[in-house]
Formats: sequence, C-alpha cells, structure tokens
Amino acid sequence: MAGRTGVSWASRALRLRVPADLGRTAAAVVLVGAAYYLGARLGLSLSLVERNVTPLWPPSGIALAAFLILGRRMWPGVSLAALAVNLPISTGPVPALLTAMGNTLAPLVAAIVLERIGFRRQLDRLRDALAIVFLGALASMTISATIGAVTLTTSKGTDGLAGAWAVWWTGDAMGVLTVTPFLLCIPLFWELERWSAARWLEAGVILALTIVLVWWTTHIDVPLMFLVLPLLGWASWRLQLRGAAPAALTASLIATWSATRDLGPFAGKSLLAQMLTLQAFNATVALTSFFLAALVTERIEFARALMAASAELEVRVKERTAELEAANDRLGREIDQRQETQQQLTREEARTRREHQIAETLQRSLLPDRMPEIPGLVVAARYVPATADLHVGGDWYDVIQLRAGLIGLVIGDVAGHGLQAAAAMTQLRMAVRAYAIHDPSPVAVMSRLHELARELPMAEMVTLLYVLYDPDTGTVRFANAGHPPALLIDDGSTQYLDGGLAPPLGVLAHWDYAEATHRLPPGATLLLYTDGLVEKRTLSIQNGLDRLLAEARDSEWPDLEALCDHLLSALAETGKVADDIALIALRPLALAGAPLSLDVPAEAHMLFQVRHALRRWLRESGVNAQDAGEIAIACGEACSNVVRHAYGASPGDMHIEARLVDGSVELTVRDNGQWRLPADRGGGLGLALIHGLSDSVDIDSDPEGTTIFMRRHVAVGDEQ
Amino acid sequence: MTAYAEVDAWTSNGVQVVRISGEVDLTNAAEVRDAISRVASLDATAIAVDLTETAYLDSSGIAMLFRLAERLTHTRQELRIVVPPDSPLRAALELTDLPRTIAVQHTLE
Repeated sequence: MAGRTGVSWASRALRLRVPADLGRTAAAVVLVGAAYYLGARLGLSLSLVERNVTPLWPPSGIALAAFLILGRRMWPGVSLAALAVNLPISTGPVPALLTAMGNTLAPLVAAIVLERIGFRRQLDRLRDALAIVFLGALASMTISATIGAVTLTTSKGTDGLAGAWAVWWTGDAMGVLTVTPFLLCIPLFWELERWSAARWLEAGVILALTIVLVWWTTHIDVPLMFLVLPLLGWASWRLQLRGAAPAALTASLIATWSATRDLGPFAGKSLLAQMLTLQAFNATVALTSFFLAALVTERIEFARALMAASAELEVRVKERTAELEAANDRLGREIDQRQETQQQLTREEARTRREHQIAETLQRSLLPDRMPEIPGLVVAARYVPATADLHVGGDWYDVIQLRAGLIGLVIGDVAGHGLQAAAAMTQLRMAVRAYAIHDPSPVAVMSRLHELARELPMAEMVTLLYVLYDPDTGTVRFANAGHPPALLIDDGSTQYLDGGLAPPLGVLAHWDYAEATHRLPPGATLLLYTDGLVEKRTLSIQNGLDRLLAEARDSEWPDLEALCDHLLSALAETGKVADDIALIALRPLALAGAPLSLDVPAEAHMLFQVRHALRRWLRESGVNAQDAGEIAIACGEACSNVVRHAYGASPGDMHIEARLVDGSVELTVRDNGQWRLPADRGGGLGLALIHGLSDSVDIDSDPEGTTIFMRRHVAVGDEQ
Repeated sequence: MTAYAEVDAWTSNGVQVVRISGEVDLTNAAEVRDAISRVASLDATAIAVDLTETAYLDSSGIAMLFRLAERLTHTRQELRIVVPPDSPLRAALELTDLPRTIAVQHTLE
C-alpha cells in the first residue's frame, strides 16, 4: 500500500512540476523586482546630492546576486524594477528605458562572465573573491555606468560626462561589492554546516560591535573609521563569509548614511573628499572582509582536504598493511606446508629405498650365489631385478641335489613386491628344499607346498615350477603350479613342456597334483624362467613365448652362460626391466663316445657327483650294469683316498679320467698332493677293493702327486 | 636322514630289520651307523641289515658293518646282511671276506 501511495505521489509530482516551476520562477521574478526596487529606494535615499550622486547603488548588487543564485531568468524582474525606478527620475520614457537596460545588462554580463570562469558563489576561494571584485564589480559596471551616464548627459543636455560616469560606476561597483557578498552568504546558512549557538552568539557580538564602533567613529571628528577593520578580520577569521559579509554591509551602510548626513569625518568636507573617503572606506571594508574570508575558507578547506587525505592515506596504509600481513601469513603457511610435504616425501622415499635395498639384498642372498658343480651336468642361472624405481619382485630359483643323483630344479614367482614378497619367497624356498629332500617326487613336493601356501599368510599368488631330473634315466619329471612352461631346446628344435599343469599354489582349497615326464637327452637344454622374460607391457604373453621359442631355436649355444646372456639381451627391455627376471638352464652333457674327464675339488661331497657322472658315462657307453657298479666302487675308493690323504687340511683338486679301450675301461685318478698308501683301517680295505675289482692296477706316486691307474675288461652293448 | 641314504627299521619274527636305501660312502657311513644303533632294539635276538635297496656301499660302509657286528656280539645279538645275488655290492663284500664273519643271505626270509 505504501508503495502504491509513493508511486501515485511521485507521478503527481511529475505532472505538476512544470507549472510549479513556472509559478515559482514567476514568484521569484516578482520578489527580485521588489527587492531591486526597494534597494533602489534605499540607494536614492543615500545620495550625497539629492537625487543625483549616489555613492552606493545596492540594486546592482541585488541583481547580480539574484542572477548568480536564482539564475539569469530573473532578468524581467530586474528590468521592470529598474524601469520603475528610473521613470520618475528620468527626463522621459526613452532615457528611462535605456538606463534600465544598462542597469539590467551590467549585472547580467557580470553573471555570465563569472559563470564562464567557474565562479563559486560560496566565495570560498581567493580567485572567487578576486573575480567578484574585478570582473563582477569594477569591469562589468562600466556597462551600466557608460549607458547611464551617456543617457543622462544626453537627455539633460548637460556637460560633465566623466564626472557622471565616475559617480555612476563607483555607485554600481560599491553596490556589488557590499551587497552581493551579503546576499550570496544567505543561502550558505542552510547549504553549509549549521552554526552552533555559540557561533550565532559570536556573529551577533561581532555585528553589534561593528554597529557600535562604526556608529561611534562616524560621529566623532577624529578619523578612526579604520578601527572596524580588526572586527572584520575577526569575523572573516572565525566565521568566514557568513560572518564577514553582514558586518561589512552594515559598516558600509552606516558609513554611507553618515556621509549623506555630513557626520563625523564627513563633516565640512567637499563632495569629492566625502566620496573619496566613503568609497575608500567601503572598498577597504569589502576587500578586506572578502579576501580574508576567502583565504581563510580556502585554508580551512585545504586543511580539511589534507586531513581527509591523510586520514584516507592512513586507512589505506592500514588496509595495505593488513593485506600484506595476511599475504605474509598465507605465504608462511604455504612454505610450512610445502616443507612438511617435502619432508614427508623425503622420509617416504628413504623408507621405500631402504625397503627396496633390504628386499633386494634379501632376495640376492637367497639365490644360490653359484651353481653347484655337478659332473656331467651344466647349470647356469640369471637374476635381473626390476629397475630401481620399481620394486623388487619375488622371483627365485634353486638347484637342489638330492639322493641317488637326482637334481631338483625350482623356479618360482611370488606375486607382490617388496619385503613381504621377499619374505614369502624365503619361506617357500626353504620349504621346497625340505620337502624335496624328504620326498623328491614332483607330486609330493607340490602337494606339500600347496598345503603350506594354504596355511601361511602368503602374498597374493605364487606360481612355481618344480622339475626333478634323474641323470640315471635321462628324464625330467615335473609339476607346474601356474608358472610359464619350461622350454626344451634339443638339437635346434624348441618346445614348451606343457604337462603337469595346476593352478597357482594355494589358490584353490584342494588340488590333485599330477606330474608329467619328458626325456632330457644329453646335449639338450631345459630352460626355466619367470614371466618377466616373456611378459612386456607392449606385448602379450603369447607373443613373448613365441619370441622366446624363436630366439632359443635360431642359435647354437654350446656355452650355457652365453645362451642365458643372449636370451636376456634379446628379450628383456634394455635398461628398463618392469618386472624382475629369473632364469635357470640345465644341460646334461653328452658323455658317450668320448673319454670322461672330470676336474673336481678333492672334497668328500664330490664323491657322490663323481661316481654318478662315471655311472652315467658307463651306462651311456653301453657298459654292463654289474661291471659299471663295481668300477664305480673301485673309482670311489681311489677318490676317497685322495679326499682323505692327499692334501691334509689344505684344498686341492682331483682329476678323474675314464676311457673305453678295446673292451676295457681304463680309469685314472690323479692328484697333486703327497700321500703314501695308507695301511690304516678303511684305507687298507679300500685298496683291497681297488685291486680286487680291477684287472690291473698301477699306482704311481712322486713328489708331483699320485696317479692310480685301473683297467678292467667289461661287457659292452650286446654282450650285456 | 642324509641326502644319499635313508634308514628304515621294523621287526619281523623277532628279527630287527634295518633297511638302508640309497648310497653309503665316507660322507655318511658314520651317520648310517648311528641311525642303525638308534633303531636297533636291544630285545631283538638278531639284526638284519637289508642292502637290497642300497645302490652303493664302499669300504667305509663295509668297515661300518664290521664294527657293527663286533659291537653286537657284546649284546649277544646276531648281525645278518641281506644282499641279492645280482647286487653290485656282492663282489665288494666278498672281496673283504665279510661273508666269513657275518651271515649273508639273499633275501630277508
């Protein structure tokens, strides 16, 4: 409801505005005209010579003030009032009209000029004071003075144009100087800040003192009229235009009135002297008060602006300081956070690196540092850890020498990386060894490992390939728990041994493991590997398996170490191994058709290897089993002697050589030690066996060492 | 047991049977002997060492058998050796005159 009321009120105001403005303007014009007329009557009453010489012509000041405050459209009021004033005192209507025109034109021009130069009616700048004095009063009033004086002298036909002009001009100018500032100051009472009661009191005191002082000084003979100046200074200083203009006007009016009455300083003076004294007094009062008021106002404004600027500056400094502090705080926090993150990263990195090192060390320490020397058999292995930025995997391999010359080969891959995988690998490796020694059959080993994997908190998945090689039969038996198949390289052809496959260890609750068997003839190579060799980010595993097949087939590698190196360089990504790679290769040497030659350390554990290599050689050479068994015992006795007596505590080697010559096996066992044929318990028995199991025995002992030569006729091939 | 040989024992008709499977040489002769001593019951009147499954037995093993026989005489127990006729060990055993001291039979029965 309130809104609608407001709207209807606003629209009504809009409709009525033009007529209201017109009405107000008309009223103002009438008021201005009336003021002008009254001012003129006052001016005429102050003439020094009746109706002739007026030292102060207030209407000019009233007209200019009206134009400056209310606008130039007040001119009709001014013109009509001027006409009304001039008609009775002029010789006719034309001179009155001309004079009125001059009276209107002068303040109009003054108003136009002042507005043009940016005059401020508040008179608060020195330039405004200067402008109203020189342009508004002195310059512009030459117009009315010229028109008026010429019209007067012409219409009355009298001489004295210069005198008339001077009087007219000074009167108009004084009217502007004394009245206009006073009128201009009136709107300031509501336009500027309101005065306090104390100020009103102060203004009243100043005004009263002025009246008293001017009244007094104009009624004594001593010329002391200048005494009013300090009062005007006080008014200007304390109250500016609003205090100074009324006081100045009052002073000028009283002084002018006194002059017209020939009082005090004006008594007995000539007209010219009276005029000079009065005009000088009025001009001094006007200039003093307005210049001083303007200067003080300017200074006050300046000081206020300065204070505002300094206050604003202070505020801005505070704001900026606060902003800077906030930014500084933020920066500090960011730096702290960054440092913390950096430290955390460094700690994390160090921890990862340490774990990586431990895992790798653990892994390396768990791989056999060298392959066992098994006569008649070559074994080579490689382990390539994943590149440094990736983790160590759980790949491992092992070679286990089992009873009756059986060789267990294991390769496994524990999924997952780092310490946990390496630890799981450790447990599995030891378990395989233990289980294989207990029962080397692939099914038994796998079944037990499966149970272990079910029990232990292992890494996610374990693949494992277990191969049992029997040198006596030249076959491999194997079982495969989810591992890439072993590769058989035989005489330039390659094939994967796919049998015996089962899921990775421990994945299923129960699994009936089965084993597969394949022949591993002398000279053939069996290669076990982990998926790192055949699996690449860019290629499928089938692709990798095909490549391995091709790489292994295309080349003859009499040296197993060289074969391993070749496969690694051909298949592994150089310098960037994503997953670690383990591989192990086994190759039984072809023994038949050539002499057997073994160079082994003279150590007890080698006895087993030597007699197994010899047995294989004998078997592959077609020697009858009975003969082979007894030759093995004779050879074993000779080697035992070397082990026990040739070198004492220091290490040494022994050389065993066997040849098949004209249906006889010639066996030579040689050492580089010093020993005499012992007559002790075992030794004696051993020597008896050597002699008893051979057709002829020749023992040659010199400082270089001892050689035992044995010959025995054997049944070969068909003779068996 | 050792990597090369295993020792099993059981009693059959009052005879303590000790079967050696595998190979015996100087690296494990002492262990095999200890194993036999452990399993050989004092109650048995006779101990039969079965070499049917023994693929290799050198002088260390034979010496071990001699010492075992000698020790068993103290407990008044008899030592018998079981060796099949086609055993590769037979020749060696005979060369050491073992059958003269220790009863050698072809089978357990």
